[in-house]
Amino acid sequence: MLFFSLALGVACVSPAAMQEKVRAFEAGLLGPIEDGRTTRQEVLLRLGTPSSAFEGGRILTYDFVADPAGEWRRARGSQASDWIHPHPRTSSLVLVFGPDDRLVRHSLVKGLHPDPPVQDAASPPPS
Amino acid sequence: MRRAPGWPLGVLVLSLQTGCLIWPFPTGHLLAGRGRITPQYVASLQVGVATREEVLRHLGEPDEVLAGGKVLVYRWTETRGFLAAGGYGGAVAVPFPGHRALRLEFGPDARLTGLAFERGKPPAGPVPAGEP
Repeated sequence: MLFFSLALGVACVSPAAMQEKVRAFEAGLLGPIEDGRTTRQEVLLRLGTPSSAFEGGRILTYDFVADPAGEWRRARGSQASDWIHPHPRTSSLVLVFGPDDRLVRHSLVKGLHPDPPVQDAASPPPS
Repeated sequence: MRRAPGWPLGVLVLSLQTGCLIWPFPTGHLLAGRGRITPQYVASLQVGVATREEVLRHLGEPDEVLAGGKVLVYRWTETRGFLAAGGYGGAVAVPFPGHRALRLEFGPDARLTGLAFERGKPPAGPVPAGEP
């Protein structure tokens, strides 16, 4: 009985707690990222090797996935199309760099529906 | 007097009580993948106008990158219906999947040249996203 209760307690994370974890994840991820200031080197040092690179490295993408407990981590070694629901909540960070290797634009795509992507989240408008 | 439909009604009644029933109601619920992409969601991506950058910023990481980045594919699996099986005193319904994909093609100027929704299974074996 105790085991059953513990299993339920681990498996059932309240929506409020999940939302709080999402907010913490996004704040931690996007907080240090600032268009016009953040450099490619800073991104690579902070986030590591990107999931994919496009157009000669001008665009980098980072994939993230949340486990059933709501903890976010980098998605490595598996294709998103294979992720079985309702397990994954996914996010994809897309970073676009200019010729000077500084961040020009970024977007956090939080799943593909129903939420639209958060464009340039947590960044002030370019001055 | 109108005649009742005989064997179709019998089959229906039997399948409801002791056998299997395919219930082809596509609910569209996501079974696998990062998300279900709707035509409405990509309506802003106009062919000849949208760039690869805009597509990536709107849809995120693709599941497949083909032809050196000229083709991006997003895949997901959704519910296409239910296979229901039942006997006396019990029943079970299992969703059967439908594989879907959105394929986007780009020209040399990185602008979108084609956008198409596809059906069917992905190719056998993972296709790694590469550096275009």
